Amino acid sequence: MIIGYQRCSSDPRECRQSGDARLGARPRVGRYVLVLSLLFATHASAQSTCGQAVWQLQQYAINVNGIASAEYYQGIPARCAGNPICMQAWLGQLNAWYVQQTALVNNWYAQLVLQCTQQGPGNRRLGRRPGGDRPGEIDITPIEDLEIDDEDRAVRIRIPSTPNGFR
Amino acid sequence: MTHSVSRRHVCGGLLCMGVLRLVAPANAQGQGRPICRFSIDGGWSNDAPAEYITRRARRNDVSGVPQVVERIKGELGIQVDFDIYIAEEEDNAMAAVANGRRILIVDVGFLERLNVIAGTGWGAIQVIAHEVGHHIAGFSAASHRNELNADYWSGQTLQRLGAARTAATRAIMAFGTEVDTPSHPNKYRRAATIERGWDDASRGVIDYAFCMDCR
Repeated sequence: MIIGYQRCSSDPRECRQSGDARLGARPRVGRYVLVLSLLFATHASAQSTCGQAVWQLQQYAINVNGIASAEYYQGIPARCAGNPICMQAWLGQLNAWYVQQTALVNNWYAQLVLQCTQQGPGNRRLGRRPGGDRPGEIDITPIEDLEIDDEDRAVRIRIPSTPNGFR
Repeated sequence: MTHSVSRRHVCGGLLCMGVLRLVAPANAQGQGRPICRFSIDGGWSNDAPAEYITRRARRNDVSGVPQVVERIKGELGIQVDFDIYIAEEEDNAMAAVANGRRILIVDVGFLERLNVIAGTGWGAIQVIAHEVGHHIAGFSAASHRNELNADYWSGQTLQRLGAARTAATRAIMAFGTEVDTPSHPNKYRRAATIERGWDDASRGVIDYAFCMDCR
């Protein structure tokens, strides 16, 4: 026998399918710290035109993540004061905006990669491997492999220290 | 169980991964998602239906769930071992007995979102206490009775842990249903039962009518 907290306990997949409808697709903005720690923008890379463009795009992505995180953890809870309908509405808007921003950033990044790889050797510093790999290839050596277990480090359940348990 | 997913295999670009990961985790994990084939009835098996259980929680797990369960056990004075599993994308928490083991399955991402929507960190604790309550009260074929029993024990637990009476019911009021479903009572009955458990605990009383296996 398996018993769930809310309905659809008999088939967890039913919950899975309806989860987004109930909650709204939720931006996992709480994990932006992980992202920021892995960005490898450096002033060195900004010395070239392509490097500058990538660096600027990274700053833009950081700003987007920061805004989304602030809204998710502070802005929306403060405005809605625990009202679930209000929260859902705002989270929905936040998610839509975030999806749009994601598409923009990824699109810009794809264009940058395309253009920079088509330019002359001077601009091939973008991601060129020192080991002599193909010109224009994105240097991914600084990127660490992601352990899926790492995700849980962003979520830790704690017993609140106050009777009302507000953050 | 830990699986590695190389970022470079996901979308081949750093910014792409960095942003996409925040908004579309299902895509990011789709290629290497740790869907362990765990069956409540049969345990781990290649033939079991895939559950979105990522791993078994360690004693000092980063999710904090085992630590919360230990506190709950301490407050209620019970000495029962639980096998705790961390799930993803379930949007639920579950209690079960399999192969003689008492099992708790918790989607911590769901609990985090529940806290935000409920407006209190006690939301997640109430859910975990509710699942522990299933194991205290025992399981029967009467689904609504099971749920109300577990709710009562969650009310008992939250009062003992220091939650305000209003905070104890915020999660169920946010996520419960307006009307009865085949498996669960409506949220108003559930909230009333949580409050009853909270009230009893504040007076040092336990109503054993909410427990089938006690005494």
